[in-house]
Amino acid sequence: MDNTINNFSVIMIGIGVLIALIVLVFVIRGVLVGHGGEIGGWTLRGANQTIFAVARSTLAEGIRAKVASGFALLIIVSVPIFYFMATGDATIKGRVQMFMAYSLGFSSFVLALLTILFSCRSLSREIESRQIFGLVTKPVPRWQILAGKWCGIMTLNVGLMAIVGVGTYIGTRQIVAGFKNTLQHQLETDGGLTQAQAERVVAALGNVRGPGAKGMQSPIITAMQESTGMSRQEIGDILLKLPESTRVDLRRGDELRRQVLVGRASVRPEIDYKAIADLADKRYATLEKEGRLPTDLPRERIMEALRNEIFGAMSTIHPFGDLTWTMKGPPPDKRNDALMSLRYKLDSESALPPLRFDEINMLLEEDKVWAAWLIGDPKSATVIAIPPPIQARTVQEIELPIDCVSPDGSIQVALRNEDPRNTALMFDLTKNLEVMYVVSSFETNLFQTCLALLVPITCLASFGVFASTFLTFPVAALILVCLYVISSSMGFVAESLAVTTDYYNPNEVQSWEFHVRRATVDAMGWVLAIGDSNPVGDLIEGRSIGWPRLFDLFWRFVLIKGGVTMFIGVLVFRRRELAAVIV
Amino acid sequence: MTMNVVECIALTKIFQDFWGRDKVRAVDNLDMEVRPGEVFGLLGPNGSGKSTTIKMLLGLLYPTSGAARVLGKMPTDTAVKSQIGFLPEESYLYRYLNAYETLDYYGRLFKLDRYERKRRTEQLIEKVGLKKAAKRPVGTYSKGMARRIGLAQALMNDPDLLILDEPTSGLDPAGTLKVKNVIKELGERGKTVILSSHLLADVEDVCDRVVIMYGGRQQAVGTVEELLKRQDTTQILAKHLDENTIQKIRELVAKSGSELLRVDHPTDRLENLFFRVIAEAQRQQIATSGAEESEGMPEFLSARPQRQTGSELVEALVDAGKDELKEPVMTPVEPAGPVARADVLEELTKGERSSSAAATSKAPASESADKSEEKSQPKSDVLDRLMGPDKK
Repeated sequence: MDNTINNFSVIMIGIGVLIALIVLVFVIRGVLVGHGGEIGGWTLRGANQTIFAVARSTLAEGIRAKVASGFALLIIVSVPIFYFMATGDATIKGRVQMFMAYSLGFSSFVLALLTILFSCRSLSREIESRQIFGLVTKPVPRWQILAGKWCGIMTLNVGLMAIVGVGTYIGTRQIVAGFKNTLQHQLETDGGLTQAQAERVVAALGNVRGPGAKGMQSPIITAMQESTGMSRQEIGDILLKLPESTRVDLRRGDELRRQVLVGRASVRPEIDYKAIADLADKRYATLEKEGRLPTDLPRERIMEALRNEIFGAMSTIHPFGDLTWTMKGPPPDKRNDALMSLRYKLDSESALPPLRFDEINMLLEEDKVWAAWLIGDPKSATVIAIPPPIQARTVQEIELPIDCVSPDGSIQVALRNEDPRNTALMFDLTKNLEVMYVVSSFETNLFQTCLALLVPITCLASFGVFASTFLTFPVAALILVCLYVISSSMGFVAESLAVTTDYYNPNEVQSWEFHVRRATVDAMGWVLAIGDSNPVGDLIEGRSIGWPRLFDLFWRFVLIKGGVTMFIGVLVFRRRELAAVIV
Repeated sequence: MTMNVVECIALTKIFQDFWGRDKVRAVDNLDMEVRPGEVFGLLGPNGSGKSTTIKMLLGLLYPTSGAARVLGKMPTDTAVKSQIGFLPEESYLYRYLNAYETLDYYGRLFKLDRYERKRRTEQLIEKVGLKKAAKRPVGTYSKGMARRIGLAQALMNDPDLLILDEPTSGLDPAGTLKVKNVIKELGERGKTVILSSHLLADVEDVCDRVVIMYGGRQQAVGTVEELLKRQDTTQILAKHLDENTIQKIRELVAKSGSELLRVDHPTDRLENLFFRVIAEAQRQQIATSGAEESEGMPEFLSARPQRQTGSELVEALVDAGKDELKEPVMTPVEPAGPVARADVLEELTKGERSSSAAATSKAPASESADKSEEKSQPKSDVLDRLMGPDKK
């Protein structure tokens, strides 16, 4: 069965490659064998005026010719609809997260479709309807026409994204404000507080500091106590009079404020891949010298196994041993209510059955290990020790004060394994050990998210303008829609072609068919990638997008990929006979 | 020696099929030149290669072989296009822009500043008679109105070379006359105009020189007079003559060894009747949602006399053109007396007119009444020659 699927996929890929080659040959033929004509001009002089004129006309086309206005209306209407529809897990945090995910996710999807249709249509329809005659017979170099089209499309996108961004911001703030109003009302009616007292209690929600704790130890109660001058017990009694959902929302609202409506850096241990490679080289040389190398495996395979072994050693804490990792990220935003979170998922070499310490009459539950964290510089006073036991096998997040992050953003994290069951503990360092702390505000993070959402749209606009230089509207749009869908589901493509590690053993030599499939997935991944980095997922987890990541996306997908695509488009367009007739 | 505005040397265009095989030879070895300041006609039936030639001159098509030069440069040179105005065979306009926005858009493409764009846009809209409809999207325009805005955009940059592909297609007779007047006036201002048409009357009325194309090849080229002159026929046009006089003329002609081919009373031209009716309606100020008529030329259009007819004459003509701003252009043609069957009589008189044709074609409208008077009366020197032997 597997073999049939693989043969089928190779045949399908073959057909796809063949079609792509035929299209490529025709494009190259059109570019090179065209009858010696090419519209000249790369001049920059006055380019801003003509690009602006073309962009303006494109924008007018989008809005007045109703090419894009339907999509725009859909986006503008959808934000308030999501505001009312989003409920999440019925807590305020869930509602805000769902609202942000829906409004930004849906809008960026609609914007991508709008961009595909608009960018493919604008130029190709202008050529088809010969309106282009009026444009290319004016002193406008062809590159300026394409640049103008791109700018017009992007102006519309940026405008709509701004509306979505502002709408999302207002919606988010409204949900929080709505909760505060409800709370104040309930404090007055159910809690029996005066309006002034209720206002002070609500205002205290903005001043909650320190790590979260359950029940009466909650820092929320501390903040309310400071704000109102009442005792903890009095506040506890008042809160008990409120509906349970409101009490849950008090905690969730605080999490929302400190973990979601912020931009948090996520720093992971620095992995020195070069050092790993060097170590593997040395180890290989030693094994070779000693004549202990396996004879049935190629060098590359052995090296890969050695690197995995060394990498494993860096993330494994042997019984009664300890390991220290240094993490480095952007400098923290040291607001006094800011928190740091240690987020981890610990695995063990062997099973962790329950263990009873009879001497002290204590039970170590299943999947709990006797290990201790030490966060921060051990020599400094701000170091924090988290005593055993700690939970293994599930993702855990511990809230800590931000003091242990040094001003340059570096932080040391150590784990000491004292588990009496003699088992090694380990992390997947690439994803299961991270420290998160606030580096920017929600406003900045939302703004950066909107910019990151514009990256794939910008890339699509370049692709669309390029495609319309030599394809008709329906063909160009269909190809781009396919590209968008495939690029959004590359993981699925990789799985369906069985090239993920779930489907093959990396230590076995693979057949040529496998290499064809893997090369196809790699090539598709490279060609079709449009810089979609799921910023919305990060935003709703309060992860900071960050300027470095935006810059990286920008130069890779807007400048290089978009720029190269547009440049090829200009080369094709310069050689295109716009009044050509195929007879 | 003055450089030709357009030069085509063995210009050839072959259209191919999908597989790259030669299928249609649209233009075949065309040698052509257009001199500065002339109104040049490309004449030929459908499919004769006129539009293809024009498209090659504009860089919309690339020649298969041969070469074309426009204002001394390759047609693919973008910079040269700032001196060219182009009216395509159909007005391909942005349906969602109104007339002001359309002209403003093209003005921006010519990198005109805001003041200049506004000035030219207003003058041109006035000139092409679209002031009342200027705020409507051009997608709602009739074909004739779209043609007018198309002509306006072609003039936006005050071009030295104006290329008009079927400029009168889709226009009503008034619009046709209007366009023809504009072309004539542009010619008078020293602009070079290339006009493609299969409407012979259009070309004949406005062109100095024409090339007649068929099958992508040049079949005939020369001035209109050269091509139309029939040396073996003479035409006499007179106010009402009685039978006696006609008989005398018949005898005279017979005596001179020739033969009087036809004597009849010409009917009026439908064109003249049409203009009389429209002029009457306009006098009564009957409302219309369509295009209106206007006077004069936009003042931003430069006058660069380049004709070989002498600077004095040109200056006089330009001045006369300015005076004309005060007078309605669309004066109904009302011949002083019965007009001879136009086709016959015009052909007959052409030989005589040819000597003064250049001057006549450049005559400003203010003199048109006198000229038409002159046209409708027998030329005294012709009669003198005819009557000469009798007097002696």
